[in-house]
Amino acid sequence: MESTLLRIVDLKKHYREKNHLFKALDGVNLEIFQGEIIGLLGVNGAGKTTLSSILATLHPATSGDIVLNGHSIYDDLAGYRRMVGFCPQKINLDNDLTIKENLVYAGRYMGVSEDEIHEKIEYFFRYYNLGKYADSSPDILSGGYARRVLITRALMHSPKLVILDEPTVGLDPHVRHQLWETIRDLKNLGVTVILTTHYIDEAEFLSDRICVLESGKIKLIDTPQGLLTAYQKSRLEDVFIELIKENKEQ
Amino acid sequence: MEMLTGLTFLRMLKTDLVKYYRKTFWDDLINKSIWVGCVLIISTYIWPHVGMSEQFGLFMAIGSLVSCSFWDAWGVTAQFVSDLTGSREIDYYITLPIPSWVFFIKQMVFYTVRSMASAWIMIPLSKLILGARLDLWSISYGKFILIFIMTNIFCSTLSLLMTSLVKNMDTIDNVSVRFLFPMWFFGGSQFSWMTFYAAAPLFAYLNLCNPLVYAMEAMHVAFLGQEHYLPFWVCILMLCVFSGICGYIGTRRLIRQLDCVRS
Repeated sequence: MESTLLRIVDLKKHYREKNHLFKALDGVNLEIFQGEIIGLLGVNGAGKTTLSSILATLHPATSGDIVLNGHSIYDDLAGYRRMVGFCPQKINLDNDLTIKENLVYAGRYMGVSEDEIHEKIEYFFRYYNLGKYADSSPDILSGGYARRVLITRALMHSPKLVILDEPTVGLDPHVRHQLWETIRDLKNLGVTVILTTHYIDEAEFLSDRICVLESGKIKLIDTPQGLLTAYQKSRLEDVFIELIKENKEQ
Repeated sequence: MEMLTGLTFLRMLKTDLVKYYRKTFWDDLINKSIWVGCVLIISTYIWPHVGMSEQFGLFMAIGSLVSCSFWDAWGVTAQFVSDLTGSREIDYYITLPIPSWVFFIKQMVFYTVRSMASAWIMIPLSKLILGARLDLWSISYGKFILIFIMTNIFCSTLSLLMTSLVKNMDTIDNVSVRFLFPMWFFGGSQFSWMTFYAAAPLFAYLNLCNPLVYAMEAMHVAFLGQEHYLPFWVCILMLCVFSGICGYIGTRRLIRQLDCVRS
């Protein structure tokens, strides 16, 4: 039986811009299971990045709660942050430090021991083929390598939950596929992954469950196979197009 | 948990200092030396020929200790704004397992240490240019250290406040011209508050709202004695008050603007 890692309860995020109230999230309820990859899918402005940034505690929710082991994450924010690794959409590595230093400091900030930090760096450098860039500045890296460093930084403290916000946006197809393997490996390591994407093939290939967001609400949530069966389609892309059509008709 | 927050704070501070030393420290020393060197040579050796006091160079040298920190604050403001509107490295730091205000306190401490690390060069440089005009034995070192630290703390909190006021890099000059230039010109790097009072009492009283006046006056007291300047301890108290106000408002505004989780 799947055990729940996080429970998102009636989460809302509203912004006031001039006199207009914009509802980025409007009552999201969702359970995230231990060890799954859950894909957050939706058109631009659906609320994917807002949801992932709230889960990463980059921003607060306007109302609602995120529950971990029966307690709000806001009751022990530092404890929650210690179990989360966040890869934002924008590469925000420190260009004044080398790649190795970025990772060493990330481990230290999280209270990881020096031995463990160096073990992990050695492992990830070998795994992601990053060793040759160890003493370089992140700004010389290509998009795919920079993304790998970002993922490594998020993994330095062995988080139980990794949030990836559009990890493959703007990358070449072959680099995207390499990163897919990286993300799959996270699951093999027992890490729960929340993957925000607007690439349907990516969500289909990687996700155990897909959560489609629309105008700040969850439109539907199911396994990729479940969605194909429910909509009697052979490709998830067709399901997505069907959903958009439904929305327009409504 | 508090211990880990403290450790994370110290580690972030250390990272910033390492980066500063590698990237900017030596350039800062050279730039400040050139800037202050030019000001002191002109005010000590040229201006007396157009009727200025022989002691004006010394007065300017003391003021430059404050001016350097003040304009340093502007430099770090520009860097911070550039990150907020660009690469947003800050997003990483505000999701670390620390309360978000700890990050901003770290910024203030870093700015203070950074500014002090390069401003000290003004003393040997001034001695070199002014010669016998600057008597190092007559300085009240206790008062000097206190006002030196307080000035840099104030400038770091001011920097945070300015960061919260600047919307983007396009409008950054507006803040310097509209806010910092008047503050600095009337702050007393070129005249004491008493001189200003003698010339325009009402405006001198209004100028007491300018925190830089207290930093300049107290720095002059440490070098030249209490006579002719505002009371040293009043200046220290006022700088504490202004630092508290700037730091508190700056942090609050930034937490709100960045929409950080409050904890």
